[in-house]
Amino acid sequence: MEVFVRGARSSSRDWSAAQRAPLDLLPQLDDEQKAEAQRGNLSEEAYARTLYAQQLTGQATLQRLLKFGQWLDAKIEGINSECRIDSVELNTWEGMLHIQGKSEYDSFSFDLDEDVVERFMTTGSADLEAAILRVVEIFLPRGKVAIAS
Amino acid sequence: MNLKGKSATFYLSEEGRSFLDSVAGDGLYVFDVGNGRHGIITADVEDSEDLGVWIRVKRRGGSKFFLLRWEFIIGIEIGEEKSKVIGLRG
Repeated sequence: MEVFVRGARSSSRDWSAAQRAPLDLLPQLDDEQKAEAQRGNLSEEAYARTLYAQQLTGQATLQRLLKFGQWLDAKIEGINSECRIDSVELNTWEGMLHIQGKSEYDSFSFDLDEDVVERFMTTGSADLEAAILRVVEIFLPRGKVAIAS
Repeated sequence: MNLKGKSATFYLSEEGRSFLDSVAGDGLYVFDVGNGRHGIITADVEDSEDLGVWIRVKRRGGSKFFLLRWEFIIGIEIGEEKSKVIGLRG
């Protein structure tokens, strides 16, 4: 399974950590990034700290997406043993997760609201789990679909 | 568009510019060199709501959130490349 994050962003925790990070941890800016910093009236150091915060959040988000994707893949396999997830992509602009997968003869894809997934990941709510699995039921190939519990 | 966590450049109205000058001028807020001059401020967005945009700023003693009200903003530019993608195989 592959997981992707489209579009950079940073959490407040990583932003704060980046403000305190030693200079040698910050990324080196290329010419385009230096010009971008100048356009925004930012010093190169401040811009590099923003990029570093985005890197920290990006890596953490990938790990969470992978955890969620693996959980969802196991649920999907339980519903239809022929189906597997190929990729999970978070679009940070839309706040949506795009899931793609396939069975032996068919492919499937569907979107999940990031806020719903995030709340589920932090609360483990049975209601949210049921909501997520209802979306799965709608879009999974119908071949050997069992009733999701 | 979801601005949360994004880095954005805000173009401020005259009123917004003078307001920013006044809060920066009292020395409480530590804006980056040049940031905020000419009514242009680049900052990371914590969240947005009906009243305006909460941006992250450094203040003496730590990090704070600062509400930039919509009526002070005449334009927002997202400089980040929309197509930037990172990935992981697991």
